[in-house]
Amino acid sequence: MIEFHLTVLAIVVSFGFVFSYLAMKEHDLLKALALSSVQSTFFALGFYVLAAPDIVLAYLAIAVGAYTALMILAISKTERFEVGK
Amino acid sequence: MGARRDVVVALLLLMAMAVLSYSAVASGFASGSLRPLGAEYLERAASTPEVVTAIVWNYRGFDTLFETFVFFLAIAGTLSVLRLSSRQEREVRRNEEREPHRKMDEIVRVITKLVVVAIVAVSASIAIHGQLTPGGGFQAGSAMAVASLLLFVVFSKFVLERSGLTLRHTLTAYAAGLAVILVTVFLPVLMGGHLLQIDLLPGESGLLSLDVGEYTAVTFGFLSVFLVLGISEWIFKGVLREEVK
Amino acid sequence: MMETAQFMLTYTVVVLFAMMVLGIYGVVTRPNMIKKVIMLNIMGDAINMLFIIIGYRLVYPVFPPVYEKHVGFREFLSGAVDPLPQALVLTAVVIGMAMNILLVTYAIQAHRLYGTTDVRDLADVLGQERREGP
Repeated sequence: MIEFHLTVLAIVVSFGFVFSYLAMKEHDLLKALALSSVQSTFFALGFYVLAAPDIVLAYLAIAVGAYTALMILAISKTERFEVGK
Repeated sequence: MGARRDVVVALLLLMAMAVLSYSAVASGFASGSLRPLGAEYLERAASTPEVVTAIVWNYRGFDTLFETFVFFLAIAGTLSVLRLSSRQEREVRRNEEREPHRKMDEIVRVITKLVVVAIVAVSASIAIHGQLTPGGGFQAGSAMAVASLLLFVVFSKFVLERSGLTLRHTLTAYAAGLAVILVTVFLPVLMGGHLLQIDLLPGESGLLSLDVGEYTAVTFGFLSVFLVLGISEWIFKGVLREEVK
Repeated sequence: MMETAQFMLTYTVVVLFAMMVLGIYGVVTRPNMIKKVIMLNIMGDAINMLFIIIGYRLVYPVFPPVYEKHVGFREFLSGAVDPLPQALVLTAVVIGMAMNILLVTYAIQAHRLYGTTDVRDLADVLGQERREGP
């Protein structure tokens, strides 16, 4: 049943890729941050599938909690919109 | 001009990706067997059940020690960019008292208190139980960073500072965490061993004190940075403007 | 059966490399500093995941590297994943967060001093300052 684990991993990583592509295309920084934290949530699931409970403990708190809060603080202190083409 | 450059960059990166993934797949990325080094670590699992913590602080302890220094450098860099002299600090304090004081809803505040107590308990158990179950100083410290951020958002920075969590205190606690780590690193030398040879210390107290030290350091390192970053923009800009004059 | 597993793993690795490249592309082409930090993080996540995949094993009862007494020691050795990449990534995640804080602080300070986080505008402002003095 290793195939099942790896299929879940492939799906999760694909979703992560899609959301990080959307985050790159987004010009509103808050939306880009939300999309990249969705990607982080998928990756936390991926770390769990890969049998790494230590990483899940640290990664979930850092990437979904502290990192998002830090970036929201930074965006509120600077600009919300990326001046794009 | 800009678009053409982007296309060139994208093509180059795609070529790099093709080469990298070809070489990774051709070299046989994962297989059923373990690498010899991993097998060696796993075979000692009978005495230290949680192999990752054992690697982090015992087999590859110097890596982690220097990672702690990198963490210290990042925090010190942040604090030195955002430094305030004691006169400026007084001015910031004065301006913050004039700032309109927003309060969250009663329900939110009560629930936050409960959740923060729960997070503190869980993170302490993650840190102290680190040599038996998944966990350790880094994981527990990052969980505590979330708790301090939660306090920070729901109760303002002002309330936190009035109840004693000023920058001076959090930095002292951070230094205490680092001191615990350094003492545990140097203690085996006094007992006639090498640096970081923590199996000379009685029982598992070496791993425990390193985990607790890292827990304190990570928690208060993050908290002190957030305390400085949380100063409102108009106050900090006023301070900077006076400094330029 | 093993072919399916091998194929899935290869697919995952290729997607992760694509994501790493996407992160580098974002860092290079996006002008905003905060956006650069977000893309740098995406790249770092992909690299961390690749590291963990290096230590994964294609055996069926696959255990995390935590020894529990009720699993026999032989069985644990035959199914546990490699703990070394996990230990390396664990510190990398936390240090990466501290690095993020440092980068974001620079972006905030640049916005306080020059009123912009766009690197093109920042280059203009700094070039002007160098020509005319502060």
